[in-house]
Amino acid sequence: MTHETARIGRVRLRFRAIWRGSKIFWREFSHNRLAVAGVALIVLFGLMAISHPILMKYFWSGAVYNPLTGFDPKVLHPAGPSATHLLGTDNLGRDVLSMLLASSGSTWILAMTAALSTAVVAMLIGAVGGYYRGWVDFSLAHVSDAFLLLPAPIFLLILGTGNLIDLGPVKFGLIYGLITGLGAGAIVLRSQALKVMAQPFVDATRVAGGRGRHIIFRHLLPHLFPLAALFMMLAVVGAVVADGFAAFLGQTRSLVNWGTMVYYGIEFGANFGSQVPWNALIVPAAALSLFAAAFYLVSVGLREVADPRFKAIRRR
Amino acid sequence: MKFILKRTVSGLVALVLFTFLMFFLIEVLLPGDYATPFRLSMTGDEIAAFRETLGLDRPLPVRYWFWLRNLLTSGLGQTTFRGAGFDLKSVIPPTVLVFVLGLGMAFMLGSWLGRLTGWRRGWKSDGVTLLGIATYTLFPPFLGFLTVRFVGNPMRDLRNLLVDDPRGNLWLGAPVTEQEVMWTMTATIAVVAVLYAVIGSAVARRRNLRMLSLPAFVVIAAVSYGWWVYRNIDPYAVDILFNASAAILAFLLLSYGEFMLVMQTSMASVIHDDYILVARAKGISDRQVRDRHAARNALLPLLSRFAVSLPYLLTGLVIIERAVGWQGLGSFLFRAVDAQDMPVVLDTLVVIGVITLVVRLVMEVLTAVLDPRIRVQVESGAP
Repeated sequence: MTHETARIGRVRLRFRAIWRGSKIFWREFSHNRLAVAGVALIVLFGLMAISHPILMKYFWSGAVYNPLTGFDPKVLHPAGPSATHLLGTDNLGRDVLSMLLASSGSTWILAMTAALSTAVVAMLIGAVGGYYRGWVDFSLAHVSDAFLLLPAPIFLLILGTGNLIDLGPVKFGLIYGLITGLGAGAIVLRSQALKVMAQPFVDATRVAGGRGRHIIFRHLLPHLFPLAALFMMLAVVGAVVADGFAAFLGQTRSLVNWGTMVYYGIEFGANFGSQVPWNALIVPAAALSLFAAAFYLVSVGLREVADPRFKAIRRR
Repeated sequence: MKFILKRTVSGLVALVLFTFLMFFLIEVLLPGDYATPFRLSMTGDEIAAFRETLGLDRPLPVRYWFWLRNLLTSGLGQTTFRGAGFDLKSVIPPTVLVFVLGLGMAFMLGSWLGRLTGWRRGWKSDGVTLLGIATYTLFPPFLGFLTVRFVGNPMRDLRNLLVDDPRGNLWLGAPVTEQEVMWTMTATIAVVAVLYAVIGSAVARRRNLRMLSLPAFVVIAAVSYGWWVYRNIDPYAVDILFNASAAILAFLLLSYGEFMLVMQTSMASVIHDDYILVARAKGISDRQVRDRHAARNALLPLLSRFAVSLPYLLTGLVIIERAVGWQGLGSFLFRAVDAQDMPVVLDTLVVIGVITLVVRLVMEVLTAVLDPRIRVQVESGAP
């Protein structure tokens, strides 16, 4: 009985500590206006992804607003913004807003997969290399150097040639995350892990009888987490642009994607000389940039929280 | 010397691992092999015989060994198609030229802006930061489209206006090829820039010589141009620069943001160090403290970050080349990818890896020359 209450109390204490920690984190984080804007943008894109199925089901008719096959016979295409088509239509008569919203879902999934896989792989490799040193570290460092040379966007494009492999957003994000995590991520986190291992509290844990797994999971990984979060955001920027580029070249199976939309805009602009359908070109390009930039801004905010040197600056 | 040797050996190990990795990943992950495209016109026995002549029935490690041996002995890029810009050796110099020029300019611009915005935070620096992030995350094909439309085409018209060569006859009967001129240009600029950095760092102890500034840019450009005039290749060099302007600008815009942001962060982190306070207390002007005390120390994280970012920057260039239509490694690679010409794709990736390693080695040596702490660290084997 007493044992049970003690356990519940411990869980509650844990949650309270996490809650308090996140409040402090947000206070530090929200000092940077740009980082808060980044969070707002990410939330906005999430809402966009959710809103498309709802809009299609209850508000928009499939014949006119379908992102792939929609066509509005009442308007001459490509059309500028109007009341029925808020962002206009492209050369094939499809509603730009509908295409924009339809693409945001897959990009979201891609971003999350890439972020998670990068962070997990980079943290594990970095921590193991930093903790064990010796030949383990030596071989891991050289493998990382080799992965650093492998250009992830180009490698994914090669995998996508001829659409032989079904590169959906999950698989794309996973492969991108593995390559960046094993390459640059592991290099950055390993050097951080070496710094952490040189701290006196690690020696203290060793003296107290802490073994390898305990030190890695309880002491090393928590200290690597802020930097891993930062790196994860940077990986998302790369993954989103790479996915857009693969779609631009038609090397993924995603039929509706911001990259594909830019491709249509540019190709029709090139074919019709001066008549560039600017609304169908700028909207997806801006969406892609903003999505990537949002993650970058969050990473800048995270860096300022993670790096203790910045605390001194803010206090002044 | 020991430092250079150590870094070279470690780079070679990484390169061998990289070729191993790439070969296996592509062989294992991509379905089919070089015999697959012919399967419709051949019977099963013929395909088996064909695979045997190509050695495709051997186990994977043996095939890797053959591939690696042939890579070293029989040259690169045996393409199945022929013509201008279809030879791997001829597309390396355009890429290297744009890479070195664009990277140098991006480094100068980025560290200059980062120095200014890191010193004083305010709405102005926030605006510049936002602009840097915007160009950094801009979708490369869109960026390429914009630069070609608004810079590349006007530059072409300007060239036709300035150079009395309406039909492009300049290269007819020229004593040099484009590739030779590009190699010379790259080598000149790189050597002059490195010399400037090394001499500058030696002189800067006594004189107020700023490393990364407009005068530096002008000096490097003037000395390089002087050398081209001396070698009688200046009209060709100018022609190439006009043609490369869109690619260089697009690459510059894509990559300066990262340098700026890293410089900004490292400026902000040294700004409250004690030696800055001491320098201020001595009554040195704000600008001198910023350029000579803060920026020189803030530059070091930027240089070490360079090594990790290099592959990404080169990948960015490869994508930009495809977007602006510059006939370098990027366009070559994507043409091979479209044709599913996997041996050529592999060779191109190896070349890209080698370029990365060489530039990285040069940067590391330069950093070690500028910062003795790194030399000591590597030689004593500390992380």
